[in-house]
Amino acid sequence: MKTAAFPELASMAFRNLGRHRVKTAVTVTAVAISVALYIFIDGWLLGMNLDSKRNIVAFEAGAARIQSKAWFAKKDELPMYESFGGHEALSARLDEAGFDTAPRFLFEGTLLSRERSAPIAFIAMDPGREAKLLRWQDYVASGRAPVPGRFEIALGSMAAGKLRVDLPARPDAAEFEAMLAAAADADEAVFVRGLYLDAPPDRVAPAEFRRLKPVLAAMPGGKDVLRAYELPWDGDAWRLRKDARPAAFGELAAALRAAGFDFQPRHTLRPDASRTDRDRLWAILAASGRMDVRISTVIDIKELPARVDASKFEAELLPALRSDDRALASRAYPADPASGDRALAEADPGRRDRLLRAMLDAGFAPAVRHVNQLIDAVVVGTVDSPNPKTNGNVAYMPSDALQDEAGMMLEGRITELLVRAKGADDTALPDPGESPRAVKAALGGALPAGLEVYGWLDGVEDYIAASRGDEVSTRVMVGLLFVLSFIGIANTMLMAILERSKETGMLRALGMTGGQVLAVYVMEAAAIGLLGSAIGVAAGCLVNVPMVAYGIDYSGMLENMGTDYGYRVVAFFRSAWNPPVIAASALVATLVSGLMAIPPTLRALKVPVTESLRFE
Amino acid sequence: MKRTIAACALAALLAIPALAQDAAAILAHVDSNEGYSSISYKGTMTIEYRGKRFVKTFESVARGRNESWVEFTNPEDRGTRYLKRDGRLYVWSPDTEEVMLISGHLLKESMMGSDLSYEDTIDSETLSARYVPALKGTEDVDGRKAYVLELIARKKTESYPKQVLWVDAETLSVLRFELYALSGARLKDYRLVRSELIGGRFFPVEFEMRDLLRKGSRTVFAMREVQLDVPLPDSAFSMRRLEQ
Repeated sequence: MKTAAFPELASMAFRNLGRHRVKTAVTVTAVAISVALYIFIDGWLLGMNLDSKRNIVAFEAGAARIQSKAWFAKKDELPMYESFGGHEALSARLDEAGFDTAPRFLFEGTLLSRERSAPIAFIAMDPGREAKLLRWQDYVASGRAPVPGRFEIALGSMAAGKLRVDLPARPDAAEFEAMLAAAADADEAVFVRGLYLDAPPDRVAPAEFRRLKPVLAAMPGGKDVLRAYELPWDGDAWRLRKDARPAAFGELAAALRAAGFDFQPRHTLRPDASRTDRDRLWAILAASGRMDVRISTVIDIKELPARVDASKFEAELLPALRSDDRALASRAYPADPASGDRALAEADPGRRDRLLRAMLDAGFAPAVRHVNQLIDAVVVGTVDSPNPKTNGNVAYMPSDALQDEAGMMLEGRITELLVRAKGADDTALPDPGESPRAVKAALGGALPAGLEVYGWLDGVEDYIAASRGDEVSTRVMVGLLFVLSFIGIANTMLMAILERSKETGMLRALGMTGGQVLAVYVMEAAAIGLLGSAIGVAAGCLVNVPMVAYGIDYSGMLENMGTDYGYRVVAFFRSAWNPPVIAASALVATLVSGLMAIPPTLRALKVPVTESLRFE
Repeated sequence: MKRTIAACALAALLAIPALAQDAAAILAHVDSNEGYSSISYKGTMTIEYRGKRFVKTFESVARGRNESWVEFTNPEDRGTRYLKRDGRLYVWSPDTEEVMLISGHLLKESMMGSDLSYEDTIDSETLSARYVPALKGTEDVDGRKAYVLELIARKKTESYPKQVLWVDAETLSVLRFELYALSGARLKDYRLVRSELIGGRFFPVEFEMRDLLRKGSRTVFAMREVQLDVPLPDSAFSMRRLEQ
């Protein structure tokens, strides 16, 4: 093809676009929707993942964590018997190398409030060192963070709500009366009453609402009540709108009562209550015992069993051990001549340790003993951070209070040591200088055998699974949309080329080469792709602007999903800009569109010119 | 005067080991009183929890402290079976038709919604082997004179680090006991409702258990048609029977 003919060929291609306006418009729209959707979905996924990763680092994991390999292998069980001591030496070394560290001991238990109970993951930590590395203490929504040396708990806000160890947002009549009774004197009672607004009922039965409607419509302020309620799709009851203004609750409640509707008083914590007021209310409720809790748990202790049943020794333990450990076990547990049972006779500490390790690695249950423990504590604050994991069934406690038999018999042992570079930016993900390899290098061989440095993503499989799953499914969905668009382009071009068979034959008879004909059609298809891409990019970016700035409020949905949906994002899912993907999606759509014209054109070019000229 | 003081001091010194020996002897008697080579009975478990009442019936056999079999017969739980052997506890449920090993933290869970945990059912060793007893005096329990024994675990890995027993001074049956957590907080209460003289010993046939962490909860176990020291075949405690 001569280069000089290119402008003319391009001109022909663009003129052809105008000749088939409807088909061109439909195809351009399909491409535009695909590109816009791809940009939207990609930006949304990127935003959610970026926020999630930042929140994992800032609220859960730091940049790296040192754990025992045995603990990591069984981390879903939170095996407290796989804890380790001597972490202060590691912390000192890392401190010199420019890292902050936060020791933690994780365990499970049941938290019992005065009214309810819930399974909770407890994090025993050093509040001061934790604050240097993680940010959850900045998000203590009510009350305060726990103080070292005390049996105090900062509890995830959702768990606190379920257990009723928080500031009640909407107490019922009985709970409100109990709160007033908790006041030490009349002044406090007035203060408590003043913090709550008289709220209209959440639900009104349809029959009652029908009766009230004409009365409310005729009375001053009644229309505000009618506007404040909505009937959801299930038609079960009229419900107070979520966006109803609490400031107007008093008038709404008064209007309903004036209309003759008798309802149980319900109160709402003033949305404008100051931090000082909330703290005072917390202190009043805490003094009444509302925040007192008990932790029911077990302390798992690894220990060589003194005796092992003969059958259990032979059938369960020995087959699970390596051959050299089998010999060690047989020597350490000689058979009792009378019963055949095995009694521990090994005294050498080294061999005992090795055998215990072998039993634990083999999952031999009698090597772990469970001691019942019940600890009295008090909830001093609730955590409501941007990372839902901190807001669920999680409790933070000072580890120094749990060191002896009144606590968890920690005796200086921890299950993990979190690591982050000093002064690291919260909004930035860890850089290579904070990688496990870098932390290991900073320790310079001081890492004891059995311990390992893990990356911040190593312990968040739930997030990785959710992220990968969503990424694959949404990209497949959008990919299918793309395929459909391209099929549309292919179809449009096929029809156009078939319809123009006579015209193609004439052009070829007049001396146009096959390559030039092909170029015209490819350019025509590519122009459709380019137009669609341009519109798609513009639309995608327009949608992305508010998505990046404000996001979508998923709080209603998340209330039902709890805190275990993988992503570490609360309420607002925000998008992020991804310029390379935006440019690539436009380029790919244009290129693929152009390529779609090749097969039908080649087919048309195979037909002899004389036959093309006879085509009707 | 000096002689009197010396005599009192000597008496006190002698009394300490004597009292300790008494405590050990009482506990040994408690162990032997509740020990058996085998047992067969039909039982009823009445659970009261949060104002509701659940009645479960079952049949059970056991051999020594290491082997036992329980099969529930009430309509809601019919076919649910538990087998304890080799220090392990297995359950077979007709819903899943699978054998499951109850181990680790699962052992802390309530057994069939009762005030008893699985762990409470699988202790194999005698109290004397696991605890050091101390006689704390005598008290009146429901009109009966009872020795008060405080048991402190020999090892710090014992599930309940402390127990307190009220032992009938006449029959040496356990009238009441309390189980404590490591922190010293009371976790569970047991009260004997009725014991019967079976095979020359007073055997508890009805008792009440309370898990103090479950508000408003209690479980009453009643045994009938109790037969002690009857021969039982090995097949009564086989995995095959559990899976049938």
